[in-house]
Amino acid sequence: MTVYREKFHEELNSLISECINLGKECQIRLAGTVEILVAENIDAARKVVRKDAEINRMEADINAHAINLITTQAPVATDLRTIISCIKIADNLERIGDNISNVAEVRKRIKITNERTLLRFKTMERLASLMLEDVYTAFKEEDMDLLDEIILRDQDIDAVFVQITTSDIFEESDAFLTGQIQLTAKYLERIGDHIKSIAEHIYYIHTGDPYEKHKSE
Amino acid sequence: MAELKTKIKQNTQEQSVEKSPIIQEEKEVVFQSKNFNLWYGDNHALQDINLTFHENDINAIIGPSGCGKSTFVKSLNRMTELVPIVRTEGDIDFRGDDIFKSGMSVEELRTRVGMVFQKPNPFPKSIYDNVAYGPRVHGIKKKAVLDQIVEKSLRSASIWDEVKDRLTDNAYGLSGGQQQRICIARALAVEPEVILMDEPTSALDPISTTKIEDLMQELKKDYSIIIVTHNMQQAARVSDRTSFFYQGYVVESDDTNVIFENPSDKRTEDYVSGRFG
Repeated sequence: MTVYREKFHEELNSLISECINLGKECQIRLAGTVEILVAENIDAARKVVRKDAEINRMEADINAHAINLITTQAPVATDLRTIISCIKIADNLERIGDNISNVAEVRKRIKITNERTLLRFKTMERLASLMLEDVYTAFKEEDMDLLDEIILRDQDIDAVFVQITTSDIFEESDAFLTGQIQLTAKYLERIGDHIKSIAEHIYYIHTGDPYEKHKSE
Repeated sequence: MAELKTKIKQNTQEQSVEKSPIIQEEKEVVFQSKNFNLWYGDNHALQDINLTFHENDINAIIGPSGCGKSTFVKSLNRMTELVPIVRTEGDIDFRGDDIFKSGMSVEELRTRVGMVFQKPNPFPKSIYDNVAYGPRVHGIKKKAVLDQIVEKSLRSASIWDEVKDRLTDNAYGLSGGQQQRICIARALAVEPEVILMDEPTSALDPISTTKIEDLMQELKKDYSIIIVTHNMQQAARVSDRTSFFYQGYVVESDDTNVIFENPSDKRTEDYVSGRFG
């Protein structure tokens, strides 16, 4: 059987690679997020905020590439789902970048020293980091069971978020400090939501059905 | 990816099988082929074709060259009989009657099942005479009646406004797109129930193609349309149901959105995605 449209499929693979690269970039930044919070010097935090522009640029490139493929190649079926999902996944990754940058903004305002809170932040970061890594594996190996598991694991991050927001530290009188802790916890919690959403988009690419439908069956 | 999808599909298959007939029940069956086979000499060109076409649907037939799609459509009004080496087996029912055995004459069948071809093929006559040809053959002689039929047919084919002032001009003087709409008007003049279209826009420019496609949406209110097309985007745009032919078989036949968004068979997916053809 003759294979046609090789150039299109090369382009499509290159779009997927761009998404994976953006994911890897987010993964690297995510792994150092809580480190920034405890760093003595705030220069590292400033650098993270500045570098967010790079993530935004990568997302814009993915969108432009995807739109070009839709316009010029009239993709259908799995190809179309892949392209649409790349746009959505890139949006999720860009938002993960925003949340990392927001955590760095917190460091620019205040240095959180409460050990227990920092430990919980670190736990959230680790959980999110593992989810993001597994989402890549699930995509590569077309592992639907792993996607199910990742989506469930978002609840673990939510649970730590609740632990933080109901902890003793909120009894302290420093409203500015507790406010910043609350914000940081929310930023990290949102990262989990975005990874969950990426897992759902990958499920859609492979099956053609929205994840909610699969869940309700 | 495809294997996995097939796996998941299999699990949901039962539900989708149940759903389809409920939607289709409301519409009457126009054509139904049952284990239809056709040979050109030794070449088994159509193999066990089981397809059902419903009233007021636009049915698209897609597939690579030589897959049997034109042969199948030509079988529906017995045009394949014109080829001496053709042999057929199985049934094709039109409104419940087998077109080969029920004693229906070829003339009656072709009156009720009109056809439009790839290249516009008007007769070398005036626009008026082209459209009036069929009704005249059927014995209509009164000018007033013919005038009425010609106007109605040309209006239905969305070309009345363009030709009403030059009905006596030779149809050859029209553009390709206009000629094709004259051919559609000619097919409509004998009031068929089904219109077969064999790549009706492949020789036309994009604007004429759009006009024919718009026209098809209008025509489906009164007629059933079966269209063979090489243009997959056209099938996706205009049809309600799509059947994918490959090497003489029907690989998959389903609602058009299913065929183009999430087909069950990997070969369909590869074909509509342009991976082979």
